[in-house]
Amino acid sequence: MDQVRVDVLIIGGGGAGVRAAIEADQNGVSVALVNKGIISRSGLTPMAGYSYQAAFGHADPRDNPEVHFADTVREGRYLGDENLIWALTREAMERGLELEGYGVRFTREEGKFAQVRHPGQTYPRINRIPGRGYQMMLGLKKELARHSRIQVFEDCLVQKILTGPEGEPAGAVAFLQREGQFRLFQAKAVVLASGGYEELWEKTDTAPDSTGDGLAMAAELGAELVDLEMMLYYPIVTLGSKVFPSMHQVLQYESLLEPEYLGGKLLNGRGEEFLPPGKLPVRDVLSRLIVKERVEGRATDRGAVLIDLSKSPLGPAEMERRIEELGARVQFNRVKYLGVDLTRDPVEVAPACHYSLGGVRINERTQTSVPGLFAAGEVSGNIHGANRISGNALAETQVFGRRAGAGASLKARACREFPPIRREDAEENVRRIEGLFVRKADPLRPVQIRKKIQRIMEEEAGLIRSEPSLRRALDRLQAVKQEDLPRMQVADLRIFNYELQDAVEVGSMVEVAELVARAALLRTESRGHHFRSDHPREDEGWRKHTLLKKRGEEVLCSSAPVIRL
Amino acid sequence: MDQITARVFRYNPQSDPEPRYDEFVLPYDKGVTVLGILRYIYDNHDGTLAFRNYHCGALICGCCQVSVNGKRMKSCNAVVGPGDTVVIEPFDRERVIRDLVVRFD
Repeated sequence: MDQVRVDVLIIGGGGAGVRAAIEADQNGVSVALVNKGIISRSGLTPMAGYSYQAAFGHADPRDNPEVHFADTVREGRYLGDENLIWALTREAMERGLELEGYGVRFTREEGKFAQVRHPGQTYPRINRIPGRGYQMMLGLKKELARHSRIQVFEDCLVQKILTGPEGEPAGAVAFLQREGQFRLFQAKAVVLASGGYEELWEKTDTAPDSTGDGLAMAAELGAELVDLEMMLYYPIVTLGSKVFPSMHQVLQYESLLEPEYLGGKLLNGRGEEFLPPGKLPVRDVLSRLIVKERVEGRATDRGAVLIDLSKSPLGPAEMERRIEELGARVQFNRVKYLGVDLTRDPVEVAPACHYSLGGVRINERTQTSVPGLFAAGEVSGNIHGANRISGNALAETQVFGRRAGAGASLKARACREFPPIRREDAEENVRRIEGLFVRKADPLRPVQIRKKIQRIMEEEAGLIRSEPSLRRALDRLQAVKQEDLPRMQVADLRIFNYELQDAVEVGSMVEVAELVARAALLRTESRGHHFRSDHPREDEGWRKHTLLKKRGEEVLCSSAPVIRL
Repeated sequence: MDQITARVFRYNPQSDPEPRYDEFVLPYDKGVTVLGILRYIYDNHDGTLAFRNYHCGALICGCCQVSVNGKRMKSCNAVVGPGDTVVIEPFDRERVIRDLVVRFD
């Protein structure tokens, strides 16, 4: 097996991973950046909207990082660690300006950021990137290319983090899809920037590669995992086709529904308005209001509600003008291929998984509970709390990506020698992968198991859960592990075998799904995006994190206080 | 019931002397795109198909680009009608890694 030796190994090439790589390179350490797909064409950042939240105070001079901090703490339902929120809100501006330096274009008017207000924000604080997360990623990619010492591996499946004698991360074993070969990475510090786990459910608006791989690897190392029950649902997502179910499109409701923007209406299945008067609700509140219509029998036949712009008071010319001004055209294009004209036709929408709030527990230096393992971006878990306001995710990638790159560089510099890797671990992993190619008597394809996991999570651990449903989830997942995984078989091909990626992802998914169900069982209250039908109220006593930690096959469940400033 | 016929380019530069085309017949549903078709084929018919499935599906990232009836397009934006036959090929044959997967840049 060929070997790559670097000071810092970064797993994941989205916004956080690329920012971490740039920082580590600037600190003079050697870096390898590995990504499951193509950088800027895979992962979560390229799919993000235009929102980068930072309190420049250009739209309203009363705004500042303290107000941004207070908004984030409150709208996170007091479950985000305040040291992390303070880091986020204090540094978001400087990191945003850096992005401009990388060539990312923000909307400015007369030199100032043209900020808009999204729900949950006291003052307008959304700085808009007209080219959205995709253009932000292109800017980062361009900057990455300027750091030519960084070794980049794309279409590279990391399967396992390898450890040294003290259990510290010492590298990883990966499969290069283009070459059809394994590669052994040796490193002094490892940064996880591998994104979230939205793909565990049937209904998501994210890319199919968000399968919690990094989380599963961190769990295996015994890292502390926090608030995994918190999956953020975006309230307004199209349903997709029954035959081709994966085609969910997110529609940014702020611009479509806000009276000062496009003034559309949200209607239930009977054509009635059901939102309370006043300000547009934030995401967790709106998701629950939609589910209430469904549960009480007022949704459409498919359990959805309708977004209807034909009821907007705006005339067609003014509507067109505002769509252009807001940069909202993309959402209209997204449903056009379905034969839908969003300005005229009502569209069925329902909540879908959008952002992983829970994840690996970090401190303000992005250190996890495993020394030498750092985490940044969606894979981390204790920043936002039980809900996230718009624009904090892109800012998070930059603030914590930079911190992870800096922290990992320091750690690598303090290590004089590469920690020795147990080669048997790498070889065992290669055998495990080779085992997937072996013909089985009664084989299952990874995609069959993936769909089964998604069904289980949708039915038993979705937007509404309860103790009985979560126990059923655990039983059903256990059956998948014991009965289905040993039968998993992939096509016998080495070069770009998508089924092999599918199989590795399914392995991560079943591990993470079980942990999510356990965390959801632990939190006997309803808060933010976690709704327990058997504990429907928020409980003051639960202003604390759920905390999970694996020790071998055992999962230790406990809680931890939220850090206050 | 309306159907769609998809003729899909298959080629492994390491082992195949020539590319071939596999034909799949699929059910039609309103709004189906070439990306939807490829996912359907992978999910229901043929796990050996190499294509880029990690995508935004929302006309942004361009990772799903293929040639549809000879025209380079984002497959998530290539709508297919009832009764249509679509020929799906890599957008650049010189840079094929396998089947529809192409080396970018």
